Amino acid sequence: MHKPEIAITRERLLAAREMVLNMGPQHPSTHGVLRVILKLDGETVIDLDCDIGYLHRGVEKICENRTYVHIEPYFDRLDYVAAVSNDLCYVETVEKIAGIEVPEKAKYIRVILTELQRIASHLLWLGTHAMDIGAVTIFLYAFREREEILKIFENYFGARLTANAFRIGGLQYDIYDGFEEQVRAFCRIFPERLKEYETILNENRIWLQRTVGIGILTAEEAKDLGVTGPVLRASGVKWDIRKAFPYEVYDQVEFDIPVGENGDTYDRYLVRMEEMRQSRLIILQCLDRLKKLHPGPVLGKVPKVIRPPVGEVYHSIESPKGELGIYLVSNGTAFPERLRIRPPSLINLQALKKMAIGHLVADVVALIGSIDIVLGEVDR
Amino acid sequence: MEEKKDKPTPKGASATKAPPTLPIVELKDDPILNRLRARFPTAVLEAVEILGLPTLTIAREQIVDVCRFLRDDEEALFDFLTDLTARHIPEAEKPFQVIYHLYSFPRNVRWRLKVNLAEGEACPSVVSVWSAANWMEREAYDLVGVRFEGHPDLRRLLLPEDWEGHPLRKDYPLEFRYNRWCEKHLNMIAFREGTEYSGRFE
Amino acid sequence: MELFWTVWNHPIVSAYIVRRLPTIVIVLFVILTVAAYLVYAERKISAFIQARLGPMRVGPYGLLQPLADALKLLSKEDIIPARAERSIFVIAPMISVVASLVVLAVIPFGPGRATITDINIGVLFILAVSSVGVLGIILGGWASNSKYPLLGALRSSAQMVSYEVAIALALVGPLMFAKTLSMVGVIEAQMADGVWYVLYQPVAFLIFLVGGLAETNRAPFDLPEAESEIVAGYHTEYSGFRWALYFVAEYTNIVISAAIAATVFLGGWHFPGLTRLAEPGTGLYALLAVLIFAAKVFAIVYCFIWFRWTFPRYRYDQLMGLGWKWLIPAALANILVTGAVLVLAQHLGLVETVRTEAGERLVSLWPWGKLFLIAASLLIGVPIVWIVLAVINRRSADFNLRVQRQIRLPERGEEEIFAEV
Repeated sequence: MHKPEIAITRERLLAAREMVLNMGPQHPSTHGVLRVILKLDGETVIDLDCDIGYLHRGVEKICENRTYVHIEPYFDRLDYVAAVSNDLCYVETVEKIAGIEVPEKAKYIRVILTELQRIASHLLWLGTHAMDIGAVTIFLYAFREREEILKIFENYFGARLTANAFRIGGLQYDIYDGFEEQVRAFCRIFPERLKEYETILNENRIWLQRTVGIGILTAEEAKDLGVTGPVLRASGVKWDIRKAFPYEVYDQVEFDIPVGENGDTYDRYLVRMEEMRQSRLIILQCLDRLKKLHPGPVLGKVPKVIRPPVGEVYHSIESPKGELGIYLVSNGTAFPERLRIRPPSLINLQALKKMAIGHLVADVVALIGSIDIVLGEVDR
Repeated sequence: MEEKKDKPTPKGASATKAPPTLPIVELKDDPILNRLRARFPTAVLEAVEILGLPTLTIAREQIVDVCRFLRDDEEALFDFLTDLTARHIPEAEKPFQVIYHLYSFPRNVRWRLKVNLAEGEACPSVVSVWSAANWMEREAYDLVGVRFEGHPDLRRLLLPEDWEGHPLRKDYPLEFRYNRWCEKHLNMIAFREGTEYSGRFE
Repeated sequence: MELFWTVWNHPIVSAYIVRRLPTIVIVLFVILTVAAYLVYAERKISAFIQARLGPMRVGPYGLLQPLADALKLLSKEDIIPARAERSIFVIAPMISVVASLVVLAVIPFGPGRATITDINIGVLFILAVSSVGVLGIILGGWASNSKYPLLGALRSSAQMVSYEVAIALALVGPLMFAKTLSMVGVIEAQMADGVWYVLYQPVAFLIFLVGGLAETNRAPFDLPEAESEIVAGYHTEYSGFRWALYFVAEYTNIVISAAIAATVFLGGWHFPGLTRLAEPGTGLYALLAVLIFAAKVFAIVYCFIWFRWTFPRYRYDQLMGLGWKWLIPAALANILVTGAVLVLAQHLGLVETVRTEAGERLVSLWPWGKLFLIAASLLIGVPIVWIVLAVINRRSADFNLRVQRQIRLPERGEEEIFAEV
């Protein structure tokens, strides 16, 4: 098809009247304290730089001075939206290096809670992303569902947001009476609510115009930039750590990995919506298996003071944001020598520059939302 | 590889016996390692396997070539850089270590590469191999102080531009002491030695 | 004092000002209260859409909330940014409000004394005066001397100007039936014909609604006030009662847009069967008429509020593209098709021109005339407008999701790059 072409030479770009716009740390729709410095020509973005570190708390340094049990609450505060996943990554890493066995029942409960947390995290993403693009009502609806999940968490952990969920070696509490009914009740109402959101957004002309073709990231670019999680899957790479390096009991449940085609914002939206459905299926399967294992132990044999052997380990899980990895170096004492957290949000945020250049200012907001960053994880 | 030297028991260590070590197996018969050794005979200084993860120590000057080989070679296919980080090991003869975690999508294999650096030595940057290394190297420079040669834009990522010191070094104190940036921008002055600031009220 | 009474009793002053004073006062009072309570209605309706309750504490069911808001805003500190242009900063919201309120003079709220006045170029007057409101926005944004308000003001003014063309052209369609620009005359024409013009001109009605949304900066066209990108647009630097003035202007504009739609398309204060309930000319008749008008206006305003809280927001270039490439061609095509249909109808003898006291009106004969015109508008008007738009926007990126814009920057060594249009 013949398309007319306009030549934009380098000179013309440099001669353009550039304006530097600061989407500052205080802004209604950068998710947290993120500062994006945009160089604009009119409304088109020609350059982008992220200034992060407003939420840097030195977690890695602190962890070098805490015992393994004391470190766990710090991980809740990393990605505070999906706290339970962070805890899961941490306790699994320590169990891996220290060689601690976790009872089967505890693994199933852990998976149920982690998948519930994945749904909650995606619901928050949906609400804020839709709100940034203008559909404010979805925010309220998504939080109505998230509220159900947080009630389950409150009943089980005692806390809604930063739950300090798991223990090295299993779980602290057994499930309470009514846990299964509550989770099943949520799984029962959830598909129709998802359908409600899709009715408002999926075929909506305005939504399509705001998200289709925005921020296209090809598979090669995504792999080159180190992007993981739903962003990578939306670019066409069928990869999920739960299938590649199965942990907990993910190799014993059946679920599908949604993959996108074009790598634009719309595909990232579709991938996350489908992931919520798949999480629900995982939860139902685990609940069925759990019935057979109940009652049973939930905590394995753990020494009083955890002193892992000298060595190093890298362990990662599929958190709702991407691949959350921990590189732990132990020197045989009760304190870690080096605890490095591989933050998915930070490395996904690198891709923002590549995605946003050439688009308009309004698209930058949509893109930040579609990468789904949490500044607690970016800055640690 | 960490050496345990004779010194007073570090904090948190058990007082009775030496701590156990994870089993470390010498990496033999790995075809990719053989190809790598054939191509770069002097690059691989050590090759072991820890908890199932092949860990190679690479010489500093050849790290970029090794990485490019691992990415482009049709049998290695390490097209993904999972993580790049740095460590400060004050007791070792080369106190800084940069650690790379590579991943191959087609083969579903993870590898770890390490580069040991002396004080003041810069590590060649692998940004030209994987763009993912851009911010990760900036963060390693920011927090540990390792410079990367060839990085297009090496400046601090998390801390403010004019911060002094690299916090993840072992000689950087955990608790707040005097800091020039804080005095200039936040009006926080130094604490006198021995000041009681733990917050107890009589 | 003598001078005052001479002026007061002068025939022109007496006819146009003194006799209308009660109506003017009542209308001003009612409309300003309505604008304030429209904020309350929006909060309540949006709350119900979003599965929550809205204001509930101030007064029963939160009904005194607007009063509390007004008192709060009046008691706020008057902040004018140090580098802002003081005089223009102060005047700008006043211009917006005055422009909105002046339009109320020609809107027919009811028969007889319920309307302030009727001029025979009513529609033109409304369009002209409401355009002056744009000036208030531009000046407000510029006088704030800050980047975000400037961006918002420029966007808003460009948007309002574009969509004014669209709604003006959309209004031409029903006016071809009414044969007059007077607002009261349009209602009379619909009364004489016995048909609301929305049935003859569905396309124009839709264009007018969408254009009305854009004129008043409502979602999905609220990019100038979109808080997620430019904080608050042209009223970022305004606080306290000055900000409230902008909001009074905005909500009054919403009421006016709805009132025009109700008058021109939905028959104004008239309802078939009204004469059976009350005698024309009595107070009861006027009261019922005003209530009917208020109901129609509220129905349209409810739709405006409903759309705001359902749809996402258009990006700025998509918004401008929608106005210029879709609504204006649609309105033009609608005019052409309407003209053709009317000529055809006259040839077939289905319509005739009737002389009423006020002027000529076009009336269609029952039943074939009415059926013909309604059928023509639906079967001919809608498809033709659709085809025209498809032809014009064949390669447009709007609504054609396969053609999207991508600009690549030149790599090192690459001299020229090409942008796909």
